Amino acid sequence: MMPRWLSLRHVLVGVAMFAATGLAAALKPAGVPPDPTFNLERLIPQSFGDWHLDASIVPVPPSPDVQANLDKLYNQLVSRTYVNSHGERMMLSIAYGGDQSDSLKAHRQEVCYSAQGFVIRELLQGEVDVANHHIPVARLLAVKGQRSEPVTYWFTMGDHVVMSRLGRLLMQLRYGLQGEIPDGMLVRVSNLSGDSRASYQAHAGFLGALLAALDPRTLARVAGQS
Amino acid sequence: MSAVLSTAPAERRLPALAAWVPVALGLLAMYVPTFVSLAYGIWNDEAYEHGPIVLAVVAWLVWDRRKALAALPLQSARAAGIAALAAGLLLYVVGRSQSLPLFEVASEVPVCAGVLLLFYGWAGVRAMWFPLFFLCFMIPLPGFVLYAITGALKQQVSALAEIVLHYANYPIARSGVIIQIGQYQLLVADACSGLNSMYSLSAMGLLYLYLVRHAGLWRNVLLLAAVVPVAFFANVLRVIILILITYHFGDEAGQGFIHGAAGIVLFVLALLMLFGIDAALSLFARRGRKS
Repeated sequence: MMPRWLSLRHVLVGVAMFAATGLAAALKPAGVPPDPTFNLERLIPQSFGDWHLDASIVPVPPSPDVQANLDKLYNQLVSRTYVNSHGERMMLSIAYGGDQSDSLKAHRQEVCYSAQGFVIRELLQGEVDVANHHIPVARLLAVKGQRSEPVTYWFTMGDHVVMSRLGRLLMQLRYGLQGEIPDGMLVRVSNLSGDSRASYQAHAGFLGALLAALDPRTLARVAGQS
Repeated sequence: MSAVLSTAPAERRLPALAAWVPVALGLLAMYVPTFVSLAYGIWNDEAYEHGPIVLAVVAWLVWDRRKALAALPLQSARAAGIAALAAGLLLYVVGRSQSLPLFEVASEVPVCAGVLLLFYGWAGVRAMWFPLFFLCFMIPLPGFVLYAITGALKQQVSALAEIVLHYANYPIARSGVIIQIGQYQLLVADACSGLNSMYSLSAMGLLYLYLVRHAGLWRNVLLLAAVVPVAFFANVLRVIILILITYHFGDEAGQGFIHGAAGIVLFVLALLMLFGIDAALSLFARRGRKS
């Protein structure tokens, strides 16, 4: 028998609320301990196919406030310029975040570029077919003054390439409800050129050579499971 | 049903407050951890720093309406109440466990509505509609919506600032969100989009409307419609002032203390502008009644 001052309905509602807090705590994914062997700087080769690291270009470090933002968002950042035998240059940027939950999500590049003062001239969805992978990508042409930069990029979450916002949310929930925190990557290739169509083709060629040179495990993380 | 219950008022009244203990404990168990994570997380972000103020206002509004609620007969909209509560708890479990503050904070609205429905029926929701609605201002906008609005606003603000200063014969040029004036190059940052002040000003405007309770519908509608443009132009003014300070007094002046102070001053100014519009509207209202 309950004390007279207690009402069953109030107690039931209270119990349901406590059950919700308990369930939320139980479903909270435990963080996967960071893998010390996963070092992008080492895993991404300095030369592959016809391409090798361009030593003549010392990358300009981002301004301190941008750097602080990058450190907050990404755990590892590889930013390189490659050159081939024809003297063509490609900029490769791979950012890795160990936690892709809401607060630490990779940024869409059209947003990043326009925040840096670029004007986005075109924004397309496409696909890059390389090394048995069909990678859904976004392509954009970013222009700032004299600088015209065609960009190809994609996001991964865990072992999947996921571009749409809803897709990313569902993927996050799929990993999260299985008790895992998905990591993720932003892979971006760009060059300086006024001809965006030819550049997108060149990006695909460059990516084909790069992905073919990766070991299978790194390939799966960079380009998703085929 | 209320007639049946009201036959035994003395017996019903006395235990009422004590009976709420389990519900109150449940709510605290759910949302104190939420507020703690928010305080360490997104409440530190400029875009969401109005969160604790909204929470305080809601708490005060509920306290203010407590007598209206207590005066209601005990009745239940059981099916709707259970549905709202269940949906809210599910949203909470997913949001809390998967670190989605959007879901976690949004769950407050159906959870509170569900409790009201279960114990006071639809009349309870009606009595508390404004605090429930105001609670929505606590819900963080999803990142992509925030970026989209911020980006668009920044472009508009920079373009307008450029046009105004160009006609004032300043040596100004613009490319996207980069403004070149004299020897200075300025980047219109996210914070300059004015989205924060727009959001807080809308909240304050709504609160003001609720508190003064104008009788005429059109006066409320007009004031509400004025909130967003007022916030927008106040922000354009702020950006122009900051550009001019940089041009005349140098970079340090433009980036220093004045940068922060300008935001607060403009917020107060925009709020006063709203009150001014309301005063003007009241003049029209009075004249309308005389004629």
